[in-house]
Amino acid sequence: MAPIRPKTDSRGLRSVIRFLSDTPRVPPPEGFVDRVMVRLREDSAPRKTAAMEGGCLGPLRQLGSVEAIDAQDCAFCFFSASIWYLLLGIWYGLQGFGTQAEAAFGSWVQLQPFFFSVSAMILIGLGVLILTDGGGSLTAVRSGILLFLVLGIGNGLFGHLAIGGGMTSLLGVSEFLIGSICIGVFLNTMVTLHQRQAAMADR
Amino acid sequence: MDQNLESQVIREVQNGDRERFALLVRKYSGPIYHLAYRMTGSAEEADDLAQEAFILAFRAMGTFDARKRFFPWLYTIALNAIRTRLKGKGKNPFVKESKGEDDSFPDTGAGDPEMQLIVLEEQVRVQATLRRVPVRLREAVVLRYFQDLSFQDISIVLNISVAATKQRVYRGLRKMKEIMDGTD
Repeated sequence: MAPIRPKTDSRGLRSVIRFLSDTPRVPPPEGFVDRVMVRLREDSAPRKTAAMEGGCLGPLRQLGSVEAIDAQDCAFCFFSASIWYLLLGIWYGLQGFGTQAEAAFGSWVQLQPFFFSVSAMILIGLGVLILTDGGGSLTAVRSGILLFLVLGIGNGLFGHLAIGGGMTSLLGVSEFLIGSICIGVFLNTMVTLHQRQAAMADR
Repeated sequence: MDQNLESQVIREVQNGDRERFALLVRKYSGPIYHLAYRMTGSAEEADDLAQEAFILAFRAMGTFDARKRFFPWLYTIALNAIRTRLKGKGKNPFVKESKGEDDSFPDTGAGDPEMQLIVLEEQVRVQATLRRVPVRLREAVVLRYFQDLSFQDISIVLNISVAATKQRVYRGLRKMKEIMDGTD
């Protein structure tokens, strides 16, 4: 990078600065404020309708228009996902998949309470990290999501191989695979939205 | 509108009073429109981009910390919208050279037609030069000399250090000088 040398050619640059300074200000066209406000009203109204008419899809439709979320909202997503995994872990830990499933799926099934519990712990940890360290630790959070995804995909693939490797086993474990990927992608999106908010808040 | 009133208006907007946002639009419409105009060189596009910047800012108002200054935040949003537009339209400042005919210019405000023509010619010249300056340098020059922002404020808007800001402004001016001298 070239060093700053304001004095060496200051005369030449001064003419450029004068050239810029002499340029008149360009005012916004008449009615600009009104047009913005009309667009704002139009912008807000359909979103409310979509949320009301969309039923369970309403919040998802609205998600597309969200620009940024704060740490609490971001952490809430992690805690919600962790509760889901925690409940699954407790449920399968206490009840199991059933004798038939255990006979069919073998040792992989017995690992599932452990997998669910570890996933829940990772997500809780990441949620706490977001809450306590604001936007500074988002790279660590992304690494955590990656770990969660690797664990989820690894668990699915291990299940696929443990069960027998055929199309049936792939279908059997697909819900675990797809579930992990969807949750991982969703949480990563939430982190991106929070990162945007953190960047804005720093200004 | 002083700083206290502005903070109050921001809080009201954050609490759901959408109509109060008009006060912020009124206060910042001039600088934001001017920024968009200098960056794009088209009055029509500047109008659309400035509107878009305010709408994006409104949508993100919930995330704005009312204790902080509003205008660097707004400028950042506006610049992001402008960059996205310039990138999306593939406007390469190195390639496209303004000839004036295809540009739309806003009302200059000068009543005398002869004066209006002179002002218009000057604007064509400024825009033709600016358009050939790379976007990163152009935005630094525009913020410094058209928006009269301090280096400190520009560094906040561009999210770079003050030293890097000075460097960009200097390089932008150098580039403009080369273009005007015909050495570029």
